Amino acid sequence: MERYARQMILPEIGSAGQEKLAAARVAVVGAGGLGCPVLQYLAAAGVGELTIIDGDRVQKSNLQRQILFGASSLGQNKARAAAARLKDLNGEIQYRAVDGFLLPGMAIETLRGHDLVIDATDNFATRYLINDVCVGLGLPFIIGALDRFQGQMALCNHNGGPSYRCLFPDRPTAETAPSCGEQGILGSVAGLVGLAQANEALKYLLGLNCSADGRLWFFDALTLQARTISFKADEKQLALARENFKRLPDVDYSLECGGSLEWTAGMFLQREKETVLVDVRESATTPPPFPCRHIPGSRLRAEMLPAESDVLLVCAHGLSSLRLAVLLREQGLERVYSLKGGWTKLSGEAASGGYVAANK
Amino acid sequence: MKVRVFGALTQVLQDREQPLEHPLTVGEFMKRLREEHPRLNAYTFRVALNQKMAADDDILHEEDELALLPPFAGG
Repeated sequence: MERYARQMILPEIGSAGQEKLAAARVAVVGAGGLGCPVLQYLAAAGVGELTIIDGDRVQKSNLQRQILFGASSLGQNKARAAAARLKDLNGEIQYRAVDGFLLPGMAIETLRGHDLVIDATDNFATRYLINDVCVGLGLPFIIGALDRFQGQMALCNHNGGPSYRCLFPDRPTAETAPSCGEQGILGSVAGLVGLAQANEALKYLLGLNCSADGRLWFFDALTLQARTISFKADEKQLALARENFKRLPDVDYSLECGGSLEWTAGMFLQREKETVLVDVRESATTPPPFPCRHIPGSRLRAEMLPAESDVLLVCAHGLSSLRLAVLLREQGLERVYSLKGGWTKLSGEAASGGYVAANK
Repeated sequence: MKVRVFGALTQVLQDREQPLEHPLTVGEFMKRLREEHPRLNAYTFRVALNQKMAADDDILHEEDELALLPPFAGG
Protein backbone atom coordinates (compact mmCIF):
# COMPACT_ATOMS: atom_id res chain seq x y z
CA MET A 1 0.00 0.00 0.00
CA GLU A 2 2.14 2.75 -1.36
CA ARG A 3 -0.35 5.41 -0.36
CA TYR A 4 0.06 4.85 3.35
CA ALA A 5 3.71 3.75 3.34
CA ARG A 6 4.96 6.76 5.27
CA GLN A 7 2.75 6.05 8.28
CA MET A 8 3.03 2.28 8.10
CA ILE A 9 6.78 2.50 8.64
CA LEU A 10 6.09 3.82 12.13
CA PRO A 11 6.36 0.91 14.57
CA GLU A 12 3.31 2.26 16.43
CA ILE A 13 1.25 1.78 13.28
CA GLY A 14 2.50 -0.86 10.84
CA SER A 15 0.11 -2.85 8.66
CA ALA A 16 -1.93 -3.86 11.70
CA GLY A 17 -2.60 -0.21 12.46
CA GLN A 18 -3.46 0.54 8.85
CA GLU A 19 -6.02 -2.28 8.89
CA LYS A 20 -7.58 -0.77 12.02
CA LEU A 21 -7.98 2.53 10.17
CA ALA A 22 -9.42 0.80 7.13
CA ALA A 23 -12.01 -0.94 9.27
CA ALA A 24 -13.03 2.24 11.10
CA ARG A 25 -16.26 4.18 10.50
CA VAL A 26 -16.16 7.78 11.66
CA ALA A 27 -18.98 10.34 11.61
CA VAL A 28 -17.97 14.00 11.39
CA VAL A 29 -20.72 16.42 12.34
CA GLY A 30 -19.96 19.73 10.66
CA ALA A 31 -17.84 20.39 7.58
CA GLY A 32 -16.78 23.92 8.48
CA GLY A 33 -13.76 25.45 10.12
CA LEU A 34 -13.07 22.38 12.25
CA GLY A 35 -14.68 19.75 10.05
CA CYS A 36 -12.60 20.51 6.95
CA PRO A 37 -9.17 19.86 8.48
CA VAL A 38 -10.52 16.86 10.41
CA LEU A 39 -11.98 15.29 7.29
CA GLN A 40 -8.92 16.04 5.19
CA TYR A 41 -6.53 14.26 7.53
CA LEU A 42 -8.81 11.32 8.34
CA ALA A 43 -9.35 10.73 4.63
CA ALA A 44 -5.66 11.05 3.86
CA ALA A 45 -4.79 8.55 6.61
CA GLY A 46 -7.15 5.94 5.18
CA VAL A 47 -10.08 5.83 7.62
CA GLY A 48 -12.35 3.32 5.89
CA GLU A 49 -15.70 5.11 6.08
CA LEU A 50 -16.40 8.79 6.62
CA THR A 51 -19.90 10.14 7.17
CA ILE A 52 -20.08 13.90 6.66
CA ILE A 53 -23.06 15.74 8.13
CA ASP A 54 -23.72 19.40 7.33
CA GLY A 55 -26.79 21.27 6.08
CA ASP A 56 -24.99 24.50 5.21
CA ARG A 57 -24.02 25.86 1.79
CA VAL A 58 -20.51 27.05 0.95
CA GLN A 59 -20.12 30.84 1.04
CA LYS A 60 -17.18 33.02 0.05
CA SER A 61 -16.45 34.01 3.66
CA ASN A 62 -15.95 30.30 4.44
CA LEU A 63 -12.97 29.99 2.10
CA GLN A 64 -10.67 31.81 4.50
CA ARG A 65 -10.59 28.72 6.74
CA GLN A 66 -12.75 25.90 5.36
CA ILE A 67 -9.97 24.53 3.26
CA LEU A 68 -11.79 21.74 1.50
CA PHE A 69 -13.74 24.29 -0.52
CA GLY A 70 -12.92 26.61 -3.39
CA ALA A 71 -14.52 28.71 -6.09
CA SER A 72 -16.09 25.62 -7.64
CA SER A 73 -17.83 24.74 -4.35
CA LEU A 74 -19.62 28.06 -3.81
CA GLY A 75 -23.34 27.57 -3.27
CA GLN A 76 -23.05 23.80 -2.88
CA ASN A 77 -24.01 21.83 0.20
CA LYS A 78 -20.90 21.50 2.36
CA ALA A 79 -21.25 17.74 3.01
CA ARG A 80 -21.52 17.01 -0.72
CA ALA A 81 -18.78 19.48 -1.67
CA ALA A 82 -16.46 18.01 0.97
CA ALA A 83 -17.11 14.45 -0.22
CA ALA A 84 -16.44 15.44 -3.81
CA ARG A 85 -13.12 17.07 -2.91
CA LEU A 86 -12.08 14.18 -0.64
CA LYS A 87 -12.82 11.58 -3.31
CA ASP A 88 -10.04 13.14 -5.33
CA LEU A 89 -7.71 13.21 -2.33
CA ASN A 90 -8.43 9.57 -1.47
CA GLY A 91 -10.77 7.62 -3.71
CA GLU A 92 -9.99 4.35 -1.95
CA ILE A 93 -12.26 4.92 1.05
CA GLN A 94 -16.05 5.26 1.42
CA TYR A 95 -17.89 8.53 1.88
CA ARG A 96 -21.43 9.22 2.90
CA ALA A 97 -22.59 12.83 2.61
CA VAL A 98 -25.64 13.81 4.67
CA ASP A 99 -27.06 17.06 3.31
CA GLY A 100 -28.76 18.28 6.47
CA PHE A 101 -28.16 19.36 10.02
CA LEU A 102 -27.97 16.81 12.81
CA LEU A 103 -31.38 17.08 14.49
CA PRO A 104 -33.21 15.23 17.26
CA GLY A 105 -35.43 13.50 14.73
CA MET A 106 -32.63 11.70 12.90
CA ALA A 107 -29.51 11.91 15.09
CA ILE A 108 -29.69 8.37 16.44
CA GLU A 109 -30.03 6.65 13.04
CA THR A 110 -27.40 8.96 11.55
CA LEU A 111 -24.74 8.34 14.20
CA ARG A 112 -25.50 4.70 14.96
CA GLY A 113 -23.12 2.17 13.45
CA HIS A 114 -20.00 4.33 13.70
CA ASP A 115 -16.95 3.71 15.86
CA LEU A 116 -16.25 7.34 16.66
CA VAL A 117 -18.04 10.66 16.30
CA ILE A 118 -16.31 14.01 15.78
CA ASP A 119 -18.14 17.09 17.02
CA ALA A 120 -17.08 19.82 14.60
CA THR A 121 -20.21 21.89 15.09
CA ASP A 122 -20.61 25.55 15.92
CA ASN A 123 -23.47 25.70 18.42
CA PHE A 124 -24.29 24.36 21.85
CA ALA A 125 -27.65 22.84 20.95
CA THR A 126 -26.00 20.38 18.57
CA ARG A 127 -23.13 19.72 20.97
CA TYR A 128 -25.50 18.60 23.68
CA LEU A 129 -27.49 16.54 21.17
CA ILE A 130 -24.31 14.75 20.07
CA ASN A 131 -23.46 14.18 23.72
CA ASP A 132 -26.78 12.54 24.53
CA VAL A 133 -26.85 10.36 21.42
CA CYS A 134 -23.27 9.19 21.92
CA VAL A 135 -23.82 8.43 25.59
CA GLY A 136 -27.00 6.55 24.68
CA LEU A 137 -25.31 4.59 21.89
CA GLY A 138 -22.11 4.02 23.87
CA LEU A 139 -19.98 5.88 21.30
CA PRO A 140 -16.82 7.82 22.08
CA PHE A 141 -16.75 11.32 20.62
CA ILE A 142 -14.19 14.06 20.21
CA ILE A 143 -15.31 17.62 20.88
CA GLY A 144 -13.63 20.66 19.43
CA ALA A 145 -14.46 24.33 19.71
CA LEU A 146 -13.02 27.75 18.93
CA ASP A 147 -13.06 31.18 20.51
CA ARG A 148 -11.03 33.81 18.65
CA PHE A 149 -7.43 32.70 19.20
CA GLN A 150 -8.17 29.84 21.57
CA GLY A 151 -9.42 26.31 21.18
CA GLN A 152 -10.71 23.36 23.16
CA MET A 153 -10.56 19.64 22.38
CA ALA A 154 -11.30 16.47 24.34
CA LEU A 155 -12.09 12.79 23.87
CA CYS A 156 -15.35 12.01 25.68
CA ASN A 157 -17.27 8.91 26.69
CA HIS A 158 -14.40 6.50 26.19
CA ASN A 159 -14.45 3.39 28.40
CA GLY A 160 -16.73 4.92 31.00
CA GLY A 161 -14.97 8.25 30.70
CA PRO A 162 -16.73 11.58 31.22
CA SER A 163 -19.04 13.22 28.69
CA TYR A 164 -19.43 16.77 27.41
CA ARG A 165 -22.20 17.36 29.95
CA CYS A 166 -19.82 16.19 32.70
CA LEU A 167 -17.45 18.91 31.51
CA PHE A 168 -20.00 21.68 30.99
CA PRO A 169 -23.19 20.74 32.83
CA ASP A 170 -24.59 24.25 33.01
CA ARG A 171 -26.56 25.76 30.18
CA PRO A 172 -24.25 28.30 28.50
CA THR A 173 -25.60 31.84 28.40
CA ALA A 174 -25.63 33.75 25.16
CA GLU A 175 -22.73 35.96 26.25
CA THR A 176 -20.50 33.04 27.08
CA ALA A 177 -19.63 32.06 23.55
CA PRO A 178 -20.49 34.02 20.44
CA SER A 179 -20.01 32.35 17.06
CA CYS A 180 -17.01 32.67 14.74
CA GLY A 181 -19.18 34.82 12.50
CA GLU A 182 -19.85 37.23 15.34
CA GLN A 183 -16.39 37.58 16.77
CA GLY A 184 -14.04 36.42 14.07
CA ILE A 185 -11.46 33.65 13.71
CA LEU A 186 -8.08 33.23 12.04
CA GLY A 187 -8.02 30.25 9.70
CA SER A 188 -4.83 28.86 11.18
CA VAL A 189 -6.42 28.68 14.63
CA ALA A 190 -9.36 26.69 13.28
CA GLY A 191 -6.84 24.49 11.49
CA LEU A 192 -4.80 23.87 14.63
CA VAL A 193 -7.83 22.78 16.66
CA GLY A 194 -9.33 20.69 13.84
CA LEU A 195 -5.98 19.00 13.39
CA ALA A 196 -5.88 18.31 17.13
CA GLN A 197 -9.21 16.54 16.74
CA ALA A 198 -7.98 14.54 13.75
CA ASN A 199 -4.79 13.69 15.60
CA GLU A 200 -6.66 12.43 18.65
CA ALA A 201 -9.09 10.50 16.43
CA LEU A 202 -6.26 8.68 14.68
CA LYS A 203 -4.60 7.87 18.01
CA TYR A 204 -7.88 6.49 19.30
CA LEU A 205 -8.47 4.34 16.22
CA LEU A 206 -4.89 3.07 16.31
CA GLY A 207 -5.05 2.23 20.00
CA LEU A 208 -2.37 4.77 20.89
CA ASN A 209 -2.30 6.84 24.07
CA CYS A 210 -5.06 9.43 23.98
CA SER A 211 -3.82 12.35 26.01
CA ALA A 212 -7.18 14.12 25.72
CA ASP A 213 -9.15 11.15 27.08
CA GLY A 214 -11.24 12.75 29.82
CA ARG A 215 -8.88 15.73 29.67
CA LEU A 216 -9.79 19.04 28.12
CA TRP A 217 -6.98 20.32 25.92
CA PHE A 218 -7.05 24.08 26.08
CA PHE A 219 -4.91 25.85 23.51
CA ASP A 220 -3.97 29.51 23.05
CA ALA A 221 -2.68 30.16 19.54
CA LEU A 222 -1.30 33.59 20.47
CA THR A 223 0.97 32.34 23.24
CA LEU A 224 1.27 28.75 21.96
CA GLN A 225 0.49 27.67 25.51
CA ALA A 226 -1.56 24.57 26.04
CA ARG A 227 -3.03 23.00 29.13
CA THR A 228 -4.77 19.68 29.64
CA ILE A 229 -7.30 19.84 32.41
CA SER A 230 -8.78 16.59 33.64
CA PHE A 231 -12.49 16.34 34.34
CA LYS A 232 -14.46 13.56 35.99
CA ALA A 233 -17.54 11.61 35.02
CA ASP A 234 -20.64 13.01 36.70
CA GLU A 235 -23.27 10.31 37.24
CA LYS A 236 -26.10 12.86 37.29
CA GLN A 237 -25.07 14.25 33.91
CA LEU A 238 -24.65 10.78 32.40
CA ALA A 239 -28.10 9.82 33.69
CA LEU A 240 -29.54 13.02 32.18
CA ALA A 241 -27.98 12.16 28.82
CA ARG A 242 -29.43 8.65 28.92
CA GLU A 243 -32.84 9.99 29.80
CA ASN A 244 -32.75 12.51 26.95
CA PHE A 245 -31.64 9.73 24.62
CA LYS A 246 -34.73 7.72 25.52
CA ARG A 247 -37.00 10.74 25.00
CA LEU A 248 -35.61 11.67 21.59
CA PRO A 249 -36.85 13.22 19.35
CA ASP A 250 -38.92 15.04 21.99
CA VAL A 251 -36.08 17.00 23.55
CA ASP A 252 -35.77 20.74 22.95
CA TYR A 253 -32.05 21.44 22.61
CA SER A 254 -32.60 25.12 21.91
CA LEU A 255 -33.13 25.40 25.66
CA GLU A 256 -29.50 24.41 26.09
CA CYS A 257 -28.45 27.94 25.41
CA GLY A 258 -29.98 31.22 26.35
CA GLY A 259 -31.68 31.58 29.70
CA SER A 260 -29.55 34.62 29.29
CA LEU A 261 -29.77 37.71 31.42
CA GLU A 262 -29.64 39.86 28.31
CA TRP A 263 -32.17 40.34 25.57
CA THR A 264 -31.22 41.83 22.27
CA ALA A 265 -33.32 44.63 20.83
CA GLY A 266 -34.49 42.20 18.16
CA MET A 267 -35.68 39.72 20.79
CA PHE A 268 -37.69 42.42 22.51
CA LEU A 269 -39.28 43.72 19.31
CA GLN A 270 -40.45 40.23 18.39
CA ARG A 271 -42.00 39.46 21.74
CA GLU A 272 -45.60 38.35 21.68
CA LYS A 273 -45.96 37.94 25.40
CA GLU A 274 -46.49 40.89 27.68
CA THR A 275 -43.20 42.40 28.83
CA VAL A 276 -42.93 44.93 31.63
CA LEU A 277 -40.43 47.58 30.57
CA VAL A 278 -38.61 49.43 33.33
CA ASP A 279 -36.40 52.44 32.65
CA VAL A 280 -33.71 52.31 35.34
CA ARG A 281 -31.82 55.48 34.43
CA GLU A 282 -31.26 57.79 37.39
CA SER A 283 -32.95 60.54 35.44
CA ALA A 284 -34.87 60.06 32.21
CA THR A 285 -33.05 62.79 30.34
CA THR A 286 -34.40 61.72 26.99
CA PRO A 287 -37.94 60.37 26.74
CA PRO A 288 -37.94 56.61 26.19
CA PRO A 289 -39.25 55.45 22.81
CA PHE A 290 -41.63 52.94 24.38
CA PRO A 291 -44.19 53.15 27.20
CA CYS A 292 -42.52 51.98 30.38
CA ARG A 293 -42.24 52.47 34.12
CA HIS A 294 -39.43 54.66 35.41
CA ILE A 295 -37.70 53.45 38.58
CA PRO A 296 -34.17 54.87 39.03
CA GLY A 297 -31.73 52.02 39.64
CA SER A 298 -30.68 53.40 43.02
CA ARG A 299 -34.28 53.00 44.28
CA LEU A 300 -35.11 49.73 42.56
CA ARG A 301 -36.03 46.79 44.81
CA ALA A 302 -37.22 43.31 43.91
CA GLU A 303 -40.59 43.85 45.65
CA MET A 304 -41.43 46.68 43.23
CA LEU A 305 -41.47 44.30 40.27
CA PRO A 306 -44.02 41.65 39.26
CA ALA A 307 -42.67 38.13 39.68
CA GLU A 308 -45.16 36.65 37.21
CA SER A 309 -44.19 38.64 34.11
CA ASP A 310 -41.04 39.07 32.11
CA VAL A 311 -39.42 42.30 33.28
CA LEU A 312 -36.97 44.06 31.00
CA LEU A 313 -34.67 46.65 32.55
CA VAL A 314 -33.40 49.35 30.25
CA CYS A 315 -30.80 52.06 30.72
CA ALA A 316 -28.93 54.19 28.22
CA HIS A 317 -26.37 51.61 27.06
CA GLY A 318 -27.18 48.31 28.77
CA LEU A 319 -24.47 48.31 31.42
CA SER A 320 -26.15 49.46 34.63
CA SER A 321 -29.32 47.60 33.71
CA LEU A 322 -27.26 44.39 33.45
CA ARG A 323 -25.72 44.98 36.87
CA LEU A 324 -29.18 45.53 38.33
CA ALA A 325 -30.56 42.43 36.61
CA VAL A 326 -27.79 40.35 38.15
CA LEU A 327 -28.58 41.72 41.63
CA LEU A 328 -32.32 41.16 41.24
CA ARG A 329 -31.73 37.60 40.05
CA GLU A 330 -29.70 37.01 43.21
CA GLN A 331 -32.65 38.31 45.19
CA GLY A 332 -34.83 35.64 43.67
CA LEU A 333 -36.50 37.38 40.71
CA GLU A 334 -36.09 34.85 37.93
CA ARG A 335 -37.79 36.64 35.07
CA VAL A 336 -35.82 39.86 35.06
CA TYR A 337 -33.66 40.69 32.06
CA SER A 338 -31.52 43.53 30.79
CA LEU A 339 -31.72 45.09 27.35
CA LYS A 340 -28.39 44.66 25.60
CA GLY A 341 -27.26 48.02 24.22
CA GLY A 342 -29.94 49.92 26.12
CA TRP A 343 -32.22 52.61 24.69
CA THR A 344 -29.50 53.54 22.22
CA LYS A 345 -29.66 50.15 20.53
CA LEU A 346 -33.43 49.82 20.77
CA SER A 347 -34.10 53.17 19.14
CA GLY A 348 -31.72 52.25 16.35
CA GLU A 349 -33.40 48.87 15.75
CA ALA A 350 -36.87 50.33 15.84
CA ALA A 351 -35.90 53.11 13.43
CA SER A 352 -34.36 50.69 10.94
CA GLY A 353 -37.59 48.78 10.50
CA GLY A 354 -36.99 46.03 13.04
CA TYR A 355 -40.05 47.33 14.80
CA VAL A 356 -43.03 45.20 13.91
CA ALA A 357 -45.95 46.21 16.08
CA ALA A 358 -46.74 48.70 18.80
CA ASN A 359 -45.80 47.54 22.27
CA LYS A 360 -48.95 45.88 23.57
CA MET B 1 -1.73 32.69 43.17
CA LYS B 2 -2.22 33.00 39.42
CA VAL B 3 -5.71 33.52 38.06
CA ARG B 4 -5.98 32.72 34.35
CA VAL B 5 -9.03 33.76 32.38
CA PHE B 6 -10.08 32.28 29.04
CA GLY B 7 -12.47 32.95 26.18
CA ALA B 8 -15.22 35.54 26.52
CA LEU B 9 -14.40 36.00 30.23
CA THR B 10 -11.46 38.19 29.22
CA GLN B 11 -14.08 40.85 28.57
CA VAL B 12 -14.83 40.88 32.28
CA LEU B 13 -11.40 40.47 33.84
CA GLN B 14 -7.82 39.82 32.90
CA ASP B 15 -5.20 37.33 34.05
CA ARG B 16 -3.87 38.42 37.40
CA GLU B 17 -1.49 37.63 40.22
CA GLN B 18 -3.67 37.30 43.29
CA PRO B 19 -1.94 37.66 46.64
CA LEU B 20 -3.45 35.39 49.29
CA GLU B 21 -3.27 36.86 52.79
CA HIS B 22 -4.44 33.57 54.23
CA PRO B 23 -5.63 30.23 52.88
CA LEU B 24 -8.98 30.44 51.18
CA THR B 25 -11.27 27.85 49.63
CA VAL B 26 -12.12 27.95 45.95
CA GLY B 27 -15.74 28.64 46.90
CA GLU B 28 -14.82 31.62 49.09
CA PHE B 29 -12.49 33.03 46.46
CA MET B 30 -15.07 32.72 43.68
CA LYS B 31 -17.75 34.38 45.83
CA ARG B 32 -15.44 37.37 46.34
CA LEU B 33 -14.49 37.45 42.69
CA ARG B 34 -18.15 37.52 41.66
CA GLU B 35 -18.81 40.36 44.08
CA GLU B 36 -15.87 42.28 42.62
CA HIS B 37 -16.98 41.50 39.05
CA PRO B 38 -20.76 40.99 39.00
CA ARG B 39 -20.69 40.65 35.21
CA LEU B 40 -19.23 37.20 35.78
CA ASN B 41 -22.74 36.08 36.71
CA ALA B 42 -23.86 36.49 33.12
CA TYR B 43 -21.37 33.83 32.00
CA THR B 44 -21.16 30.07 32.36
CA PHE B 45 -17.77 28.59 33.17
CA ARG B 46 -15.85 25.90 35.07
CA VAL B 47 -13.12 26.59 37.59
CA ALA B 48 -9.93 24.50 37.39
CA LEU B 49 -7.23 24.32 40.05
CA ASN B 50 -3.78 23.26 38.87
CA GLN B 51 -5.14 21.54 35.76
CA LYS B 52 -7.95 19.65 37.46
CA MET B 53 -11.55 20.72 37.85
CA ALA B 54 -11.89 22.35 41.26
CA ALA B 55 -14.35 21.62 44.03
CA ASP B 56 -15.69 24.48 46.16
CA ASP B 57 -13.93 23.25 49.29
CA ASP B 58 -10.51 22.83 47.69
CA ILE B 59 -8.01 25.04 49.51
CA LEU B 60 -5.96 27.61 47.57
CA HIS B 61 -2.26 28.23 48.14
CA GLU B 62 0.22 30.86 46.95
CA GLU B 63 1.78 28.66 44.29
CA ASP B 64 -1.54 27.53 42.77
CA GLU B 65 -3.05 28.38 39.42
CA LEU B 66 -6.78 28.90 39.11
CA ALA B 67 -8.29 28.91 35.62
CA LEU B 68 -11.75 30.12 34.61
CA LEU B 69 -12.89 28.04 31.64
CA PRO B 70 -15.99 28.88 29.66
CA PRO B 71 -17.25 26.47 27.00
CA PHE B 72 -16.43 27.56 23.45
CA ALA B 73 -19.03 27.32 20.73
CA GLY B 74 -17.26 28.17 17.47
CA GLY B 75 -16.49 25.60 14.83
